Amino acid sequence: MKKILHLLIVCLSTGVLFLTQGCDDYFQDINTDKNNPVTVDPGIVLRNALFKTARDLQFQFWDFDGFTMQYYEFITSASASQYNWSPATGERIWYNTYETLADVEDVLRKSTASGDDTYRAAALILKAYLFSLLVDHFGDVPYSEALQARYNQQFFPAYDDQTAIYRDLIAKLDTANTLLSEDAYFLYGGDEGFFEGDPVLWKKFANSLRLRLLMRVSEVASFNASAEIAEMVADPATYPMFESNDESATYHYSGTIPNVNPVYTYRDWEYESNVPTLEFINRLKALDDPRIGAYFWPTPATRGTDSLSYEGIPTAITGDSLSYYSASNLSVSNQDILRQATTPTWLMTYAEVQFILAEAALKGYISGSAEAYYQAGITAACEQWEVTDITEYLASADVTYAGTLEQIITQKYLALYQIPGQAWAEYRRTGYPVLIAGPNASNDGKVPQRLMYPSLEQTLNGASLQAAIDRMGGTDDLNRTLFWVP
Amino acid sequence: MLKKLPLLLLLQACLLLAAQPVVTGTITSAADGTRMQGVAVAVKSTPAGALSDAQGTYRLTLPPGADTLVFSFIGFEKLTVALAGRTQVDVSLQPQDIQMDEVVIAALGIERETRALGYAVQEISAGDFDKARETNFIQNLSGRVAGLNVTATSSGIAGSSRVTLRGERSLDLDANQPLFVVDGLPITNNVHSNGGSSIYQEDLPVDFGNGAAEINPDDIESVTVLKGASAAALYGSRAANGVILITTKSGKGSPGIRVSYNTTFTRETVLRLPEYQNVYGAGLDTTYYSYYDGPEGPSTADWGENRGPRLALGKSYIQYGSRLLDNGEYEYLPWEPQPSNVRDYFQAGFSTSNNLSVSGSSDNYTFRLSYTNFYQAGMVPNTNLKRNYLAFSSGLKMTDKLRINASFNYLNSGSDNLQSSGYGAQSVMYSFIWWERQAPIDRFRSYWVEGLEGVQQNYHFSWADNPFLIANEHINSNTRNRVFGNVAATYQITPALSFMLRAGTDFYNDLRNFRRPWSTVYMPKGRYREQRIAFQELNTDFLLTYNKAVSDNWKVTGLVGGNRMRQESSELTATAWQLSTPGVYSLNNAEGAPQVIDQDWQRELYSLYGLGQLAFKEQIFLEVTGRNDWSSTLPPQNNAYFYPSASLSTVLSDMFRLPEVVSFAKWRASWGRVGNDADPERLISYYNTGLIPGSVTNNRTLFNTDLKPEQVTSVETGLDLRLFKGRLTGDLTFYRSISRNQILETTLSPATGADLQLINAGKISNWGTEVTLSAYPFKSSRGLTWEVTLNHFWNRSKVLELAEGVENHIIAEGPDNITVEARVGGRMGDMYGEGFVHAPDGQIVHEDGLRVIDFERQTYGNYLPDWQAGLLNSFSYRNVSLSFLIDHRQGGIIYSYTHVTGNEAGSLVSSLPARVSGFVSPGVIQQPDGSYTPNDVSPASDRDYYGYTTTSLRPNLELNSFDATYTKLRQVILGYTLPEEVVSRTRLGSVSFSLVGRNLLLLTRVPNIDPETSAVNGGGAKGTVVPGMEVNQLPSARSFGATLNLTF
Repeated sequence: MKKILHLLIVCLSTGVLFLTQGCDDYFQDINTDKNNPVTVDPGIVLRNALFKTARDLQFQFWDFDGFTMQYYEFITSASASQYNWSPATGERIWYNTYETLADVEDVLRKSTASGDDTYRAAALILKAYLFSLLVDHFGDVPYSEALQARYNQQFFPAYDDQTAIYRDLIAKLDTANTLLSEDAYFLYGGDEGFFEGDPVLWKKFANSLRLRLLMRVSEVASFNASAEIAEMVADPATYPMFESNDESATYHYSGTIPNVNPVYTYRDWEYESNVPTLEFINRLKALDDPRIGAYFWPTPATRGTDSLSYEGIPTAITGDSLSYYSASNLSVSNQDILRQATTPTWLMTYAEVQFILAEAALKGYISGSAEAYYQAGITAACEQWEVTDITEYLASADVTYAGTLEQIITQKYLALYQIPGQAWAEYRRTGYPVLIAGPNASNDGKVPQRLMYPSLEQTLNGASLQAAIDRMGGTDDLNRTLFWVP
Repeated sequence: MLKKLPLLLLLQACLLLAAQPVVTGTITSAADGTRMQGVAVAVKSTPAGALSDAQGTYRLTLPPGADTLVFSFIGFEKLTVALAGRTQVDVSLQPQDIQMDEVVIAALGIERETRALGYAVQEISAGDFDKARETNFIQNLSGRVAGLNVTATSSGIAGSSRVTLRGERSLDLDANQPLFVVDGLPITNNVHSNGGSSIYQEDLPVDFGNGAAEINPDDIESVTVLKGASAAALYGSRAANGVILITTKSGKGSPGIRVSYNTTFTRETVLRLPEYQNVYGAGLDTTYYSYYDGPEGPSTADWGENRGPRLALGKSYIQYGSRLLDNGEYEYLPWEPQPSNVRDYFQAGFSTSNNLSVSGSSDNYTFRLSYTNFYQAGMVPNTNLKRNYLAFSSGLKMTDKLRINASFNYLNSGSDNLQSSGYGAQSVMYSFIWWERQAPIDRFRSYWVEGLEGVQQNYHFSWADNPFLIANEHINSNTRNRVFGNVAATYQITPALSFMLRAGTDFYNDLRNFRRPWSTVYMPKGRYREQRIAFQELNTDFLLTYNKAVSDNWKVTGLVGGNRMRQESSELTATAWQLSTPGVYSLNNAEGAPQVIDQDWQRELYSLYGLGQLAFKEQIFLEVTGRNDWSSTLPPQNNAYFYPSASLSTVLSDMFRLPEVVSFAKWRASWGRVGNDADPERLISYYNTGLIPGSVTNNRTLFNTDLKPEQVTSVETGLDLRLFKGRLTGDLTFYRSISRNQILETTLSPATGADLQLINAGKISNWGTEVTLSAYPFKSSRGLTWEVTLNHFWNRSKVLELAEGVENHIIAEGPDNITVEARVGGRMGDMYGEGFVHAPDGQIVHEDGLRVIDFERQTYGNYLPDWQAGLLNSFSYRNVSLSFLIDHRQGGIIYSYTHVTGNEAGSLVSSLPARVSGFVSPGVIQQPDGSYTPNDVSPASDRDYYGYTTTSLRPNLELNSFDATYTKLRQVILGYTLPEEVVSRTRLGSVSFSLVGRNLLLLTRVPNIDPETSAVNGGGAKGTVVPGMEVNQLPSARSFGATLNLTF
């Protein structure tokens, strides 16, 4: 009896001793995740952000941009081309972009803290790239207080004014340009898939992107865009931009799953559901555009024959009549080029830069020849698709430089096929190309001016959302124009 | 041991057969002198016994050494009479006043007198669990306990069930289930499902069931439900939502050796299928249908819609299965309705269960060894479930002071194939929503292209797999080994003081394989996944108990205990996303590197606790408990926490003179608090594996280094009444609980840079009442009895606070942004989604003949029921017994994906109205001046009206939710026990036979589905079982069965 009591006392007191002293360290040890790292270098975070940017935007072109801008129509059911958009339409864009931005923000904070200018510049550029897309799609979005929950418990970020965001993004790109010197290098390795980790190309991306944003706000009085464009073009040593297709901001997939172009993972039926619109096919046919065979495959029946036939379906026809089109009579995107594991995703191309410069010259912002830029743009756009024999095309009646904005932007539109996010923004800014909504389109046949906010924002950040909506006229309206629309 | 058994049996049999003296007699009722039939007469300490006949007489062969007879009959006092050499013993039995010494198994497995308990406890005898067997044990509890709510998932035969006691207390749905305790030690009720969300086409979830589903009904002696937090303070945090205590059978009370054999066969058929329409066949409009491009026009096949030509007009069209004829044209097949084509896909499932057990006891030992084999074939072809149980329990009295008890359960289970469920190409119910109403199911039985078996599916649609391919080739199999049990040693130090040491474990590993063949629509090159799970929980306890009557009036009981709990989990999931060679399901066959996810964690919890009880005159009982926990999952500054409880029980009928009808009255009250810790590894954020090799990404969940323990405080008070000498008993409880500082993952706007944030937040109040009534409306001494038991309960809750600045919190997320949200001021269980725009008078506003959608998210109902009730009726007469259980659930809503997608597809009866030309949807049109006029515009197309070609109606909660009220005839058992006089002529101890039906009848207004369902998510933070939502779940089953029970 005594023995047992004695034993008990020893046991208990050992227990209590253990509990009060040793256990905190022991507890912390067993409560630490040993499968995953707590601290990492910024390089492997940036690698994820770049891949995700490319993957998401490639998807976005195929399931949103393509339909909205009438490159594609969806063969099995209604698509974005019906312009009957709901809060769900932009959900994926919103979620994906902010998710990527969380990694970009992490790289930015890490590199700023460590003074690593190369990673910092890369993060600034990617941040500007992604946020400009968010603004272009939604208008006011959380920006200055966004992405901060991890660092300072900011759970309800305010929506910033779109103009202010753009102003800051342009400034960030300027900063990035100055941070990237000739001898910059990526300490922890760059991303082999993007510019092969060459900081010089990043620098050119920064300036090319800045040119894009400046042209977008060129009609907004409070921005001094034309002067800034002139300054950049006049000083290529300070502001180098893309100088060839090889320098375009292009994500190169390794080709080994999971590092593949997402279109490669589409099932046949999914791939074949994206059919060219009759309008786009007709536009290419009317110009006798040599890119038609690079963009699309002819109908199955004429494939491999001498009389290739390219067929599309009208945009936004009624659901009932849509269904009578059968894939067997229609063209599809060129599988050899677009559905390979290593098919690249273009984030911004050299051709786009040339078209922007053509517009700048046309409008007199810069002194160069608008025609030369225009032709360089078309040439680059064709060569990007390995279409090289274009002398005849450039000389053809409708392609010969006519000195109109409509012609420049319409050619730009043809070149923006597969480039995420741009054609719609350019359409809203310039009104070109002239698009006619399909017979079954809602919204009074108008192309919407913006996306509605995802509905869960009502639950998750309701007060901030409401403030933004109030600022933008009181309703979350598809037809509310953005600040850069003249 | 096993080798010796036959010998023992033989010995036993010899003893029985030897010529023995006989005793006879007559039994009468002391109340009215009538002769009593069916009274059990047993010879004490032997298996010998008999029942009295219609004249109240009995005849019994006495084994050697027989010295005492025991007479028992329900509702009468048990009578023990010494034989003293007599050959005739006539007795008269006293009607029972009340079982004053009723005991229940309460916390820590200690038998307690019910009169001493200050909190609600409900005991269910396990009598019919092994007859009316459910594959998921939890389902057996449905309708049996006041306050207990069971939600099934209908996600296949191994499907999980979710159980809650007294409502949803926590904002984390996975943390709302009670603790399961078997023979004193907790076992896990984990759900490890696999795959994505219920609408994730590429990777639908597969449900392998919850841990408690595997409890073997054959081994259960009794189930006790401790409902409040105070009832459970002694089990620690995990008991904050109550405890379900399961006591397994032991050899107790079966002197000598007893062998029993129990066999069950059950046949299961589909209870309810969606109401498919049989008016239109597949296709896009009524003009024609053609599977291939044909003379009528281009193919209209690949949409899966049923908006084609009318059926039953004697027409024929080119269809899937049409042969290419010699003339180069496709064969025309008849265009007739096939009302049973979906039903024909399902087969009658069956299950068999065989249990053999040997038990025995003497003064110094008890033991029981039981083996059970269970096999079930599902209603979906090629699905099954197999379980083998081995259970051993033993008690050994080593010395007068030292007793050792051990219980050990080994379970080997698995399946050759389980089905995925949800909305996607791997789910058969999805296939049938987008199916052809005119196609006989046999057309689809062979699904490979000839000569390319295993390589190329003969596609019916380009986007959905053939349902037979799903059943036969999408294989989800597993093998699971589980051991749980414990060993306890109790030493009686002094008569008043005893000391117990106990160690136990619950350990399992589970190896799962997921095969997808080549040419499935989402996996052109197949897929193979392996998931390996190993989990272990170890518990070590000590318990010092002091029990002493200090004076005639005062009695003191005290105990001090300690517990160390350790859990270790290891989970490895490896996926080959494409297979190099078709048909070889191995990670070695991966094209590219397989993706591997490795997840390990461990946690420990140390506790010290104590209980003190003071009893005065066996009339007033006061009990206090306290417990301190030290948890590894909380930060050092918060990792120790204390929680107390107190309860009072007063036996009013002993203290005061009450009217004669009141045989017993007890009032009880209790207050308790339970603390709770966090999940492991939730303090320091880490990086997750990125999308491509060599990359990482920021964790989408923000962890919190400052977590505090959660706290649930509850009070309850209740009245236990027995009237008319026990003919009517009632138990009424009122409770209220407040949970604070809940550790939960709040959903964030992605603009914050994260999706979820771990915080301490919330103040949720729950209150409700529970009533249990049981009565013997009829009980005759001639043996006819009728017993009625009614359980009724309701629960309400209110979200009082969330975190600072947080007005709403997403508790669970279903498809298309349908959510369960806690909003301050709202109820737990409120569901949110889109609806329609309404005019001031409530009518739906229309534009172009279509209902206008209101994108503002609102609540359109709550998934929790208003109240629930279970009614059990039992009749017995002589050797025949009949019982039936009716289960009713009133109120609450269920969101049905079957409804919205089935209307999109035009497959359901409810998709017919808008096809009638001139159809006008009831409602109003808003005029430019703001006034409203009745809608008089027809929609352009019924496809627009049902949301197929226009804005989707899937996020529309108003349209797709239904009042989930239902009544189910849950269980009917008709039993027959062979009369003693027949049995005694054989070597058998007893023979009984039962016919059993489960879920025989369903009354509900919900269309298409059994409302007793919920969706399953394969992973993710927001709930594994998502209540209130149905996402193309598999049909539930109605079962009929028979059970034979023999003892030797």
